[in-house]
Amino acid sequence: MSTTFRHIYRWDLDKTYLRTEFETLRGLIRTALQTPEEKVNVPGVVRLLKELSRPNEDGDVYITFISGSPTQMREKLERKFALDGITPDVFVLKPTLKNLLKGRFRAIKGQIGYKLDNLLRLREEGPRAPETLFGDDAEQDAFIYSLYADLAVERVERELLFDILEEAGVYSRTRASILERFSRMRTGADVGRIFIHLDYNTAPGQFWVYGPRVVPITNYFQAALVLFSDGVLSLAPVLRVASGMIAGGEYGVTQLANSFQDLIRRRHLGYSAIDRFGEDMEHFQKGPDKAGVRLPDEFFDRLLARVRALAPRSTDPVRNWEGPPDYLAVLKADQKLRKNIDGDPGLFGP
Amino acid sequence: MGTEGPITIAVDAMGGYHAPDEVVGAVADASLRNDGDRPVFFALVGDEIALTEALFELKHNSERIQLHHAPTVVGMSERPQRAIEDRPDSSILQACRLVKTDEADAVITAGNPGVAVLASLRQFELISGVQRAALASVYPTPRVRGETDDPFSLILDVGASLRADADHLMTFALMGAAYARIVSRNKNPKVALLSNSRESTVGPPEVVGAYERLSRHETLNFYGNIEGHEIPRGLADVVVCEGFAGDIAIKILEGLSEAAFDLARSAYHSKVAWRMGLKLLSGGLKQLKQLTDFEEYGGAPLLGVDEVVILCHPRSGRKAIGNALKLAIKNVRAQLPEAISEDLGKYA
Repeated sequence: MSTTFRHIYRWDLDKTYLRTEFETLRGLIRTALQTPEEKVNVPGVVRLLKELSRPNEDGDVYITFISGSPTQMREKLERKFALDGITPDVFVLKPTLKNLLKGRFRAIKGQIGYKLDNLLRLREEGPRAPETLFGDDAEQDAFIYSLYADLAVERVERELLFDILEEAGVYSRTRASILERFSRMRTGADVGRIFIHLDYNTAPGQFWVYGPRVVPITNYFQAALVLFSDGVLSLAPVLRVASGMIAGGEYGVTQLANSFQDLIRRRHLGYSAIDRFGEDMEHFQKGPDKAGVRLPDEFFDRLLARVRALAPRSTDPVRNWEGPPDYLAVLKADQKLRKNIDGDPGLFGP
Repeated sequence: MGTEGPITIAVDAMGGYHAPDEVVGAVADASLRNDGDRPVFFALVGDEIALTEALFELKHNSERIQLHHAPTVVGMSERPQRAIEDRPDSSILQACRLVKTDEADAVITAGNPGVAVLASLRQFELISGVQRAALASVYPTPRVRGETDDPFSLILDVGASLRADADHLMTFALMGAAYARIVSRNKNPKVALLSNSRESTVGPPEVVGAYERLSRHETLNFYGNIEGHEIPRGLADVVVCEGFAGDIAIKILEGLSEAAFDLARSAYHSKVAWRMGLKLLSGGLKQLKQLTDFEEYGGAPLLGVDEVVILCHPRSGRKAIGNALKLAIKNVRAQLPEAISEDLGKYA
């Protein structure tokens, strides 16, 4: 592979890129029958991906999608990407039918083995560059992505990985594949941000166990802001994401201003980034080229008002992170929670 | 306060015995509810770190919540005048200020009621024709009323001020009737004066004076005087009294409901036969509890000021604050102050 890649973006599909409802049978059927034209994106996601993919002198970007949707959906989903003007470099779908026919029922529902194996495979086969990952709160994306990032820096040892995979009920063949890929894994601290789209409005504190690397987001304006703070995006792309979300009709200035404040409160956006945002905004407003940005006049003032409403330049941490997660304990707690939900005896239960 | 566009409710997140957790919990829940044609936003006012920490652990929609840092809190036992002078940056005053500066359409607090009333009176204007604001509280009765078969009667004043003269009681009657017409959709509410006798000439001079004026009023459906024991029977749709008496009356009503359930609970543990009887009745008792539990109807609107102000019981939990939020949204949608002002102009 001769191309130089400046960044790798790894995405989940359902509830991260697409608005999908698979909690009910009706929702599942509807999703399966939807035409590519009927499929709906999460607001702002396409614009953000396009802004991230804009070519520049530092090289191209590499985009991968690993989805839990069945392989039978490939044609429809690829057509949807084409409609959106997105061209993933790799698009992985789950072999659900194959799993079903082989009686691998745990693999149909389980995500840890499937996603981790594919993340490691793509890292092995693909280019090397800083990575940013996007997932959601519907499954175990935060867990899988964090584990992947910690494997890359050798913070998790083989024995522990084995125990985690066993606890997660990963089939032995997949487990062996993961362990083998791990033994060959290119190490390095190149996995940066992990964005978790809060489709279920999960309490952000639930992800704190993974540390500040994981950023729970309510919308893609928040992701754009954090990427601005990280120096990945400049101001104009951030404003184009906001502008597109407002033009789409589902967002107003208030929602975006509240989202901006939410990131500051949770300390995902520091005051140095806010100052830079303000300075760049001033230049942008004075400049002649608005670069496709159409925002209401009060946009910046409303953002500023939200900053002023907070304690003056408070940098006190809301909470201190107690270090790398105990993946096995996190997984056990998660399994217990799921069992309790599944095990609800109902009205006529014991 | 317009009829279109988003609604913002300012919430004193530090007010009440269970603040901030229960207050923030109620706002978090409300942020997840669908609010129909006009989007609703919430401005939580209080200590930034404490509120962020509370939200951190709750399912919520952060797009609908903004925070306003307030470094101080007014205690429940503080004297209103002093507290307002000493702590202009307190959560309760800042929440009121958001309404004053049109950044919010209504304010809710479960904090010190005296401070809440005084802060409202200092920040907002009285509606034309109103000399004194009144706190209105609802209570359940066996009778239903209005287009919606509303089981609740309204009682005011329940503590915005202590004393009231005949003119004040007259205005309370008109405001209470207006509220019943607008919010309970009761076209011709029956209005009564709370007294120690049904006789028009018995009672304190202000009640006698108000009786005389109300009985001469051409459009008001004046029922006459009612006595304390008649309040829970729901003979009147609106009961008018001075704040001191109203506050005591409403607390007795709340206490009676709680005492009844305490008795039932103790009976449940006393005898097997009673336990079985209560089990059989549990469905009905649950409904009764829902009807009589103050948490079910949350807050008391402060009538007479030109903004929507809802005071919650200081003991309010998540459910009560949640219901107060619903009431505030309903009152903003109904443009309550403007509607009362219009009604007063028509019927005064």
